[in-house]
Amino acid sequence: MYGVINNSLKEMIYEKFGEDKWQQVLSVSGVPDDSFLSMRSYDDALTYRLANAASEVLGAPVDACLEMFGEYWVLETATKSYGMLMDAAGNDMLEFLSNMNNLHDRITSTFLNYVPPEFFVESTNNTHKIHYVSQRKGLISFVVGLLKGLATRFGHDLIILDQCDLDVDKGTHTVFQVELVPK
Amino acid sequence: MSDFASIAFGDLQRLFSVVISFDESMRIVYASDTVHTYLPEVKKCPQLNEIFSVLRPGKLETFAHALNSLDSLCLMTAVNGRFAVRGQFLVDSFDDEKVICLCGSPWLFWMSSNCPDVRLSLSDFSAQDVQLDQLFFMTTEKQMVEDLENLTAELTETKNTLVKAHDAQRRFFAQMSHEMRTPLNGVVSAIGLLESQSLDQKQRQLLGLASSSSDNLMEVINYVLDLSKMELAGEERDSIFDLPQLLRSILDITGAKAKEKSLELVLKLGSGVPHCCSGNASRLRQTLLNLTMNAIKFTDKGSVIIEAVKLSGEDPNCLLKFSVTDTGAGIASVEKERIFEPFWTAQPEGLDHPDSGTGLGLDIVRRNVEYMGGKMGLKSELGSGSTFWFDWPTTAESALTVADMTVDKTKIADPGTKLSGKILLADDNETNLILGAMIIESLGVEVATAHNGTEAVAAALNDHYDLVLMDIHMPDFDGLEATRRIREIKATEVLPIVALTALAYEKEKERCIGGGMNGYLTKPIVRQELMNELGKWLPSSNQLLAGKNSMNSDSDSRDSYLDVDLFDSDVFEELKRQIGVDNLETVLAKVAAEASQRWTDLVAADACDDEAGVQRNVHSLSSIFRSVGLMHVGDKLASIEGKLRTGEKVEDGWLESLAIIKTESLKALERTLAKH
Repeated sequence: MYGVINNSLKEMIYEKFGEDKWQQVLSVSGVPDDSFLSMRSYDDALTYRLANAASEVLGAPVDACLEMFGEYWVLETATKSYGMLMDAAGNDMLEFLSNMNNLHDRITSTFLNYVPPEFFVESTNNTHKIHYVSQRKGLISFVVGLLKGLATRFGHDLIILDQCDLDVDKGTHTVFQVELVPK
Repeated sequence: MSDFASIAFGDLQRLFSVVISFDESMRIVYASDTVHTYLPEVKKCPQLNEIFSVLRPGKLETFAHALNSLDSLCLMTAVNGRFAVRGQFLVDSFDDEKVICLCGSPWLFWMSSNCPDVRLSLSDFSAQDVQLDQLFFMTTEKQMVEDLENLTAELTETKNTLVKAHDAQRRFFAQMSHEMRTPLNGVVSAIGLLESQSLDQKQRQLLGLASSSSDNLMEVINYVLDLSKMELAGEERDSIFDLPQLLRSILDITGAKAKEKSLELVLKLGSGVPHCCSGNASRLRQTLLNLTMNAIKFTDKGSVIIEAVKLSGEDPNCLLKFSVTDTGAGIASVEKERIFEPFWTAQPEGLDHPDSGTGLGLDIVRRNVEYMGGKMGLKSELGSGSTFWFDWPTTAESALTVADMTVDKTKIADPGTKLSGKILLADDNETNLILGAMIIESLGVEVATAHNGTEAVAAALNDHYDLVLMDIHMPDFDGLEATRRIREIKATEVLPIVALTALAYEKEKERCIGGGMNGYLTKPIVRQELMNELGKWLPSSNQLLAGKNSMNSDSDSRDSYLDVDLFDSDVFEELKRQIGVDNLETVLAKVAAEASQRWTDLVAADACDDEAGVQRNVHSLSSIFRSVGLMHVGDKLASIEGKLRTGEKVEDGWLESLAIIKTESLKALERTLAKH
């Protein structure tokens, strides 16, 4: 995972819970660095350790922490750091999701060794099936947060009607059946 | 068959989000969806220049211009300022008519700078277009810069905090050490006085314990002060100094202790060691002093040899090696690694050495050697003594070098020497006054006391004293101000003033000497150091040269190492035979006074380029020195005189080099006199 993710996690805990909590998270995680270089690739395990430590320190389930982080990533970090790209990716939720793979393709040409997830949308009337396919495991709650953050960005509430994890050899393939309700 | 291949517009639009076709009349006949989105007016098939301003190619007024620019980059901005395109021309056909197509994409960077409110979409760029990649890359670059700026800010803040904390700690240590020295002054002085009382064995044993403990405590305090001084290393400057004189001063200080333990103390100087060196004299002195003191401390019988040799280097740069070798217990190889760590002390055969100290001296030595750019090492075996050595890069400041020689056993001031004279002791602390007065009186010197600056100045000016011991910190005005007032009436030659202060800093010493004082002593008063210092200024039974102060007041050494090189004893013996021993002192005092006057005249003549005056005085001095057997300096002067007469160039800095030899020669003469 690139440092930009770890930095974002740090910023979120700093902003929402204060410096002391971040120091506690860092201490519990056993991660030695307090600063991360955005463009440096860090071991995925380090990010998972931070997330687990946050769960312990904040007294919340790790899934809740990851979901909160997903929302924070879309609404704060990505908007601040990649505002122009986010703007270019679409004017509504569905357009954005349809451009998501395109966006990730661009990232792949800059962040070498980066294997991005893929998203596909099947829409019927007001419900949408969003497919999330990744080589990683354990980030489903993070994706839920991302989707909720995106819905908020475009003025909707996201209601997850169903969530189905498909059986795959490697990584994750989850299908979210969602409904978008204007706020 | 046409001379150009036709490409379907659908294919073009898949590859390029922007396609603009114009015919030979420069009318836009086709535009892709993206262009229509941002420039709806293209529907009306306007002339190209009605819609766009062309930046590149340089000229695009006719179809022919376009045909000539097929290999060029095309950059165009919309006249309304809301869109811009970049791409390349391609020849194609539209409705069977030859057209030129501009194939490309929105010019992202122009638009993000000039119309950032126009929101482009990812679909406005074809998949192969690298502009979005570049945008992403630039974003990450910006992030990298931000990361670095944040890290730099964090580091700077942390560094500033650390520096502040460190400064505060250093000031605290320095202050604390200073505060500890003052009461310790009382303890050491009182113990010193008690030691001269008649005591039974048990009392003497306890007193010995108190004495070594207070010595150790003093060593710790000095260590902290030394470390504080090193922290200020950046403020230290190299100076030019007389190396043999510095080495003799080491023997001066340590000689008494060596004599007490019946150890032989030897100084060896290898040939080629420069006389006049450039470097940090105070650190070199401290380093050699610590090593020598250690060697004496841990050696019960035999000798301690201080040696300086030239290792390598072409003049003027050279590498010297100093070593201090003892015949003590030696150090086991397992201990060699640890010996330079603070608080390490020798523990031969599991027992504390009776005088093992605090183990801080070698830590200071190591730090000093590293600071001076040298390396240090230790050669030792249990039972076979030790050699501590270090090398020291320096620059020779004159061509003068010492001859290969060995000097056996220093002739040091005899601790039994009784001084005479009258001293004024100025200090605002009553305890210091009482203890100080007692120590001074025990040396056979009369003493009067002053409690503040006002009293000190009044007494110094109204009564006769041979010397003033001046405390620096006094309530009304300090010792420096008192000295300034005394110096308005009485010069340094008339009334020596020696500073007495608890501040053991080199800077403090410089301040005192610069402020008109003759010498410098740190508290607590140590009897031997006081005696050595007073010995320089007060009359004693073995001081014969009345003109001493005027001749070599810049020197604090009275030893006899270089005499053989400087002095021809045959000439001297002949002189003695002629005038008789009883008259030697008077005659030589006159010679010294005459030489002093001539030297002053020589320096003055040189300063105002008075060549005749220089020649005259060089001649006189040569004659004076040779008449009493100081052949080395006499010959040097004669050689210079010869060069001056023939107009030959005299080496640069000859006067400075000569000053050193002259001082050395006069000291040699004085020492010889003392033997008679």
